[in-house]
Amino acid sequence: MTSEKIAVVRVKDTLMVTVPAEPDDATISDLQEQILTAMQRYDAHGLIIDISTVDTLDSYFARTITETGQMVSLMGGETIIVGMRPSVAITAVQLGLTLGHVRTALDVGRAFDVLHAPDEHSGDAWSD
Amino acid sequence: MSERHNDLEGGTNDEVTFAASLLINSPHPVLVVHPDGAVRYVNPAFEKVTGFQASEVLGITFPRPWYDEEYAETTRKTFEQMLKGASTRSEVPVRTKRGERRWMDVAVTPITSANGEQYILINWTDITERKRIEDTVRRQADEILELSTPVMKIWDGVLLAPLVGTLDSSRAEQLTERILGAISEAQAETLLLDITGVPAVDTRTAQHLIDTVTAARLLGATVVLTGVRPAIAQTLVQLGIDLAGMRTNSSVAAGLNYAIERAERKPR
Repeated sequence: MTSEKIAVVRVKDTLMVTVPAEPDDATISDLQEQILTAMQRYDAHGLIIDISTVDTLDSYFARTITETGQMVSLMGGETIIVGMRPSVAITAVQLGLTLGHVRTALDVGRAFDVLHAPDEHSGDAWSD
Repeated sequence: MSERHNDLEGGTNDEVTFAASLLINSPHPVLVVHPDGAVRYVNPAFEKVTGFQASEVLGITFPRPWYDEEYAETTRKTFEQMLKGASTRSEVPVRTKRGERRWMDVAVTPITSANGEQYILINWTDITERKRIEDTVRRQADEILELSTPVMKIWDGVLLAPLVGTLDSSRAEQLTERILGAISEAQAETLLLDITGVPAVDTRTAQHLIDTVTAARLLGATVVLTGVRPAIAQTLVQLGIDLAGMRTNSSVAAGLNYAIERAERKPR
């Protein structure tokens, strides 16, 4: 069940994934699978998930992302969500899908900053 | 005059004359329509308002010359529904003979004449002026909405959005959209949302603010709530609203200080 839509890229000790524009449920669970496998293989310490192409966020996607964040955390890494669109954020808040305690950043560059300065630098309003 | 206007049967002469004089002197247009759709009576006010003479409209069926094409179908349907027994009331624009558009509140009531014949009584009330005022009010409300939420850049990566006036649901929605759009466009990491100009905060307003802050967080930005006056701080605590997840400051200056410090700790 490996999808060609997803590539997990390793940059030093950080993994990067771009979520395809219209992810279906199978793609999303496949994404989680591939991320966790790569986490183990590369012994990564950070994960950056780029969702800038995604224009609809459903509850399954939100839950999987949150859970993946928790799983990655158990494996010793930190997850940053990058590039959520304004319209997606508005819908997410209206539906109550706030991604739990997963941290966020405006772009990939800032996500690296967040990973390397782990205090209260992230956009996570609840981290402090 | 009365001969031309009065095409209804039944009642004694006195009653008919009295009823006719009521209709003739009414300032509101009145029409009586046969169930087959044919106009049987119009009063002088109708002639005055629409410019159509009784002789021109008596006996005509659908479509009515005083409705624009787009309403012709609706008014016919309303009429058919009404035939099934219901009284209806609707606001419809009427086109006068001179081409002027006037809004009418149209009340349609089924009536039975003395000899048992069914008719439909239609009463118009001219609401053109009210409609015009409503339009003005709506337009001004929109304008206020537009004017009241500027978002400006005050430092590299720092935006300021001063909020003035009461925050109701529609404004809050627009505010969230604007703020998120600005954050995403400027790629700003911090936005100061200043509520100095907000007269009072209640549970609903607080929830709107929390939602906006949460949405901004999802984008990867931090919203700092500034201008929390003593009165507002008191209300928030007394209402038991938990803003623990939000960074708040008493003044814009303090918020800006924090934002600059943040920006400088993380040079880009």
